[in-house]
Amino acid sequence: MKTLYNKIKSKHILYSGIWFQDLPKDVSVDGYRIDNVISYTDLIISIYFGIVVALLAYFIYQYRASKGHKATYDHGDKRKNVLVTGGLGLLVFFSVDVVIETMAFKDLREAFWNFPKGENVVRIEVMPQQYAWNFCYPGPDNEFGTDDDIIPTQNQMHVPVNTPIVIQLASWDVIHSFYLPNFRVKQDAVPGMITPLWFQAKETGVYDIACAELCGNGHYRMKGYLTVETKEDYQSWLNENSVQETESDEWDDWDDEEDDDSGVPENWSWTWEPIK
Amino acid sequence: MGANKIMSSNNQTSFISKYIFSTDHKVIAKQFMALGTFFLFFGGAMAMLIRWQLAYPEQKVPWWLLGFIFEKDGGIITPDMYNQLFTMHGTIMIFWAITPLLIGAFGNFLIPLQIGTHDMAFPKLNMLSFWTMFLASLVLLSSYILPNGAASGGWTSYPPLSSPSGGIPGLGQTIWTLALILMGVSTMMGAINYISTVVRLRARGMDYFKMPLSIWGLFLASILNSVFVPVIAAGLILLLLDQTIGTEFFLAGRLASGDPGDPLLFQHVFWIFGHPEVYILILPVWGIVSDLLSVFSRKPAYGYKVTAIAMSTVVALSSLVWGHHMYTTGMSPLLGKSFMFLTLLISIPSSMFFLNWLGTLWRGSLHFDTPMLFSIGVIWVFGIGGLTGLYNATVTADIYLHDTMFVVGHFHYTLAASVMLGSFAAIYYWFPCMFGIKLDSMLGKIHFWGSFISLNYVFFNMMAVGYAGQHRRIYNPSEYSFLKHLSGINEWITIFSFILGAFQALFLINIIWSLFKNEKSEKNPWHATTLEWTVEYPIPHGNFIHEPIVFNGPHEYSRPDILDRDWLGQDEKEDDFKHG
Amino acid sequence: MDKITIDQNDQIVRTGIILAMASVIMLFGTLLSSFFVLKIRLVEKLVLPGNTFSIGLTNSVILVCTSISYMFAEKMYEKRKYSAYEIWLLITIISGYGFILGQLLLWSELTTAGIPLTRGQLSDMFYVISGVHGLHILCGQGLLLWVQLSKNNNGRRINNVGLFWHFLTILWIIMFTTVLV
Repeated sequence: MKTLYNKIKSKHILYSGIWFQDLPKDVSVDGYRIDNVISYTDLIISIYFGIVVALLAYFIYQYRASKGHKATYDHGDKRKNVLVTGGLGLLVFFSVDVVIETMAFKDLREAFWNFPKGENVVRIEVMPQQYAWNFCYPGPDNEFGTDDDIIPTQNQMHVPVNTPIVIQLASWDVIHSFYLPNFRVKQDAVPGMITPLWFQAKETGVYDIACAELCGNGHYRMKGYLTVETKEDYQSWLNENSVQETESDEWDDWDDEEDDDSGVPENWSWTWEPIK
Repeated sequence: MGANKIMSSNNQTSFISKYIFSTDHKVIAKQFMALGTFFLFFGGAMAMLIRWQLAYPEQKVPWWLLGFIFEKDGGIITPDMYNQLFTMHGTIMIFWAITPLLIGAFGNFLIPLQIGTHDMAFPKLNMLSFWTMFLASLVLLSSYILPNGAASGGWTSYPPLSSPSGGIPGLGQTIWTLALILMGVSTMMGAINYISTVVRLRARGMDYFKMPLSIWGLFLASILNSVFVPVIAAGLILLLLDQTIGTEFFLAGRLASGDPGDPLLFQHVFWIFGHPEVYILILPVWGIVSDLLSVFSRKPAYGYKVTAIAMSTVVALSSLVWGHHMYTTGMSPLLGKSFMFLTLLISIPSSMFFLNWLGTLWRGSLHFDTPMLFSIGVIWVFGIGGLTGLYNATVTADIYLHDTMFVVGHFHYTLAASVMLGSFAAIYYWFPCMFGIKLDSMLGKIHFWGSFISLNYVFFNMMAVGYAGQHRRIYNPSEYSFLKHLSGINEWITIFSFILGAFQALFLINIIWSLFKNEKSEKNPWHATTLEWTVEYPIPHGNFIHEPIVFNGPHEYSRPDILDRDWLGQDEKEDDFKHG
Repeated sequence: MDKITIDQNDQIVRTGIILAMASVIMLFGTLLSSFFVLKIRLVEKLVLPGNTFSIGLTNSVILVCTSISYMFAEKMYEKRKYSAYEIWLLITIISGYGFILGQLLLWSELTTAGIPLTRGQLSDMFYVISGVHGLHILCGQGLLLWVQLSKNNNGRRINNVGLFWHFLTILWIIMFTTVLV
């Protein structure tokens, strides 16, 4: 009994939205757009569903047979009935669908499909495998596939704050999905394809990376850590990791199947695909 | 050929030809019902186990949840087992529970009776369809006795994961593909049968717009089935070849040793079928609920023609929107926008027939029998389910919500909740027609309220945790710091899902007890107008002694010019009741 | 319940066959589309080397001939020339088996020419498309046998089965030409 009481007590009260739960903290520059379209949808569907519930309650009360109410013989197929129904359907369409569509198209055009270009863009290649995240940084020459590429420990991704980060995703084996809940980022990594995405962090901290596409028995533990830090800290982290540069370019360990974190060769990368 | 023989005499006399290899649509319907109900509970048990793991990760499964199954792993559910559980839960619920129950059982039972004919167009094909499904069931279940167990690649079975090089050991995935192909063959046979029957065998006077909306739902679902099941069959054939003889149609990247194939090709083929499939599953419910609301409001279904046309429009649109399952795969922006726009268009016809449901209740005379409770329940859950589809249709919102529990909650509201409540409405309603007995009303109502309240809690909170970011198909959410705070609510979802499961026992008890009590129901206990109620139980082979002639629509309730009664049967002449 | 007349029944069967044709079109449509998706990705053409192309062509001609011979069978039946009908039907059935044997020969020649199954995407698809089509031809052969064995049918059954058989022929011609373009 006591545990039951404690359980009820610990339940979160409504913070925001209609789902009695919070969205994860958003530390990205453009995540608010997604949050806005979600909030708008929250608002409008609760109004409409509220109306439906009110109508249902009213009908159930007012028209119950036990009250003696006799039904009205109405097929509802006269012109005006159809026009009203159609009109209400269009009302729903224009008040919800068209609005969220406009918002989404605008956001896609302005932000998500609008890849940043320029000198201060940080480019990273991300390659998930069963069951870990691999990252490749281009190093001081800012070219992938050269000797100074930096491949840090698996599952540890660092980015500088307030800098656009452009990522290219490819998969080592099956389909995975790069999911950053605190940045509203999600993109599938499909083998045989290189898929771009970008984001920008506005707050430092350590955040989760998760895999959002079933990839096998270890799918649930494909956890990574994204550390957002100041430019200086980021630079020192890069320097630390570039010290561990290996000398061999050999790919002979790629069929090494000891544990499921091996198999990826020590120096991997692909030529950066130009992004339109 | 066959049709002539059926009418002349009842030539099915032995036990085997009457109950096992019967060509009578009513018997086949009950066979599908038995199969569907078995798998409904089988899939339901799996859901309980999935919920156990999510609430109490890696704790020993209790005896009352069949803990003995996991003995060899120390009594806990392993990650591999967990993946098998949600894979088979989805597969079984969609193809082995809902499809046999709504389309196999109710399609078979209702179509010939409600359109006024003797049996299906192709009775032997009908029988073949059931036994193919039975064979498919055996194939699917056989994967459980394999050393590496059943399929575990998700019900979507995306390659390369579902290919041998994807890392899933054993033959479970291959057996799954084979079972699905067989199931597809069974469904195609059924679809051809249903469409031919509705097109060719309607009784005199039974125009398309005089058919009950239940038939519209089943008819439209069959059209989708006949067009799109072959598509998934083709995809599954290619996948099966990838899994068995080493072709690489869907392998790319490092895993492809020869020419690269295209993993996304499978996704496109799958969802070109997959999206119409979800409409296939819900269309019978839309039709049945429209009819039942009319019966129990004693009022014509509001806007019958609009509803029929709206349902048809949704059917047409459903073939164009599959990409909304693939927004995060990196498709071209133009494609993404087109899919979003077309998906959102579906709002318009959906809103219209939804409003017509409310229109039926408005100014009706509402009788709250068990089928009516379940039908109103469908209005509620489909309202929520349909509205939450809006989030997922939006490309940007879907970036965040894709593959989270929010999607799971959405489709459980539209699929599980609506279909479950709709199926129960249908079973309670047509039980007297199928078995001559009315199910107990009090038990039925308790079953409704228990199920309704608990399923709302479960699936609403599933959407809530998805909203908070919990992604799908993960064995242990508490691994992630952004999900740690959800363990409490996950536990509550599980508790209520156990309650939901427990209430289904009431349903079984009701059936068993009512059959045992054997109190014969009166003919046409609900005073309904449709043709299946014009024949006495047990309905003879061939259904009607003389082909019915239809004069009226299916919802002639509370006509002011009909005296003494508040309903007029479809085959009754109105002049007979206007005396005085 | 009033009897359904024979003519009504055949109308019903014809509806069923047309629906089955729609489903089969979707099946092969998906296979063909998949072929094209892979072809565009690989930027390749399907080439049938050596004598395999001529074998394929011959098989296609044989199949068209089976449709023609079946049409003659139908004509003869209409004219009540039952022995001629039987002969044309037999020719169709035997040539049908000829087609199947020819397809098997095509496969074995392809394999010896260095293009076995699992060699490459486009050729694999060719095997799948011709294989699935061949399975349908086998079903068609079953239907032809059924026509031959059934006494006392009224020609409508012959027409209905013919519909399906001609459909399979046309399907093959379309697919064979399209994959080689």
